[in-house]
Amino acid sequence: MKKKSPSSSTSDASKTVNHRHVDDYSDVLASEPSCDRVFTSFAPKPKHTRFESQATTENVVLLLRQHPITQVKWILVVLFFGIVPMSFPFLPVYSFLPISYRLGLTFLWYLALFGYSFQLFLKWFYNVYILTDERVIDVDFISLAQKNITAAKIDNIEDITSESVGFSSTFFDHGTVLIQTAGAAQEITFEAVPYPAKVTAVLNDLLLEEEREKIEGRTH
Amino acid sequence: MLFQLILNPTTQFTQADATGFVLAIFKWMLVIVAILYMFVAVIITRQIGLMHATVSTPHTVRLRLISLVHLALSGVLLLYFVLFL
Repeated sequence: MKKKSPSSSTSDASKTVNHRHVDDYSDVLASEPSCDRVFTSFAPKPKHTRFESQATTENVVLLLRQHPITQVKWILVVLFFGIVPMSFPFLPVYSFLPISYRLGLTFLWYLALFGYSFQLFLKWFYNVYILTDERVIDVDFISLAQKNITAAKIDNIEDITSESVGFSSTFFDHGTVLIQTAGAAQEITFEAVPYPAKVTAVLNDLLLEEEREKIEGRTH
Repeated sequence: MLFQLILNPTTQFTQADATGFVLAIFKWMLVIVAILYMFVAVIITRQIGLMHATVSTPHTVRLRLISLVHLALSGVLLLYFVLFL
């Protein structure tokens, strides 16, 4: 068995002291298992998830998306347009068309409907809010040509507010978390995220840990 | 049919000619729509690549596969409109 040299154990110990695992200081995340589900809107300690500009020592502690209930509107629109071709035979123009045209039109309709829903799904899936042990990141894909990434260091956070307004927010436990920062990005908004109270608690834990690191001289 | 009518206008323009004429216009309209749609499918596929570069998750490969199938189907539709209508 390979014996650890005293120098390596010292470096391991200093690493542990310098950078504590999130479970050691956040009760909320300690009680949550590491998430390996992909299509979820609340993913604590997600596995195999990385982002652009992530530092090697930086760990993703929480990945958030908008609550699925906020997506119901477009899902209902897609379902409605999914049954629309059933009314085609009642259109006088449709009966005038040969069968090959009817087939092609129906295929085009469903393909376009799939493309529309896939695009909206991708927008939901990739518009994420990321909490790392160092930063808060808001990734917004507005269109192919427009992408907004707002990031703020945890120690720049000045104020955290959570809002749950309306029946849907209260019933499905989702809300908006507003993060006021001292940096160039004055405010970062996590819109319609699930469990806003938990998110606020995690942010407070991260903030306290950053302050503890400063006091104990564990800053890196 | 359309070009024939332009080059050789005739007074004996039957109902069958009119039907063929309308269907020919409709076919080329569908072809244009299918070309535009294929362009949209390419954009969606490219978008996944850009999104993955920003945030990478384990299921990106599956999503890219879905987008490629979608792109292939839009190509098949375009071919169907050109060849079979």
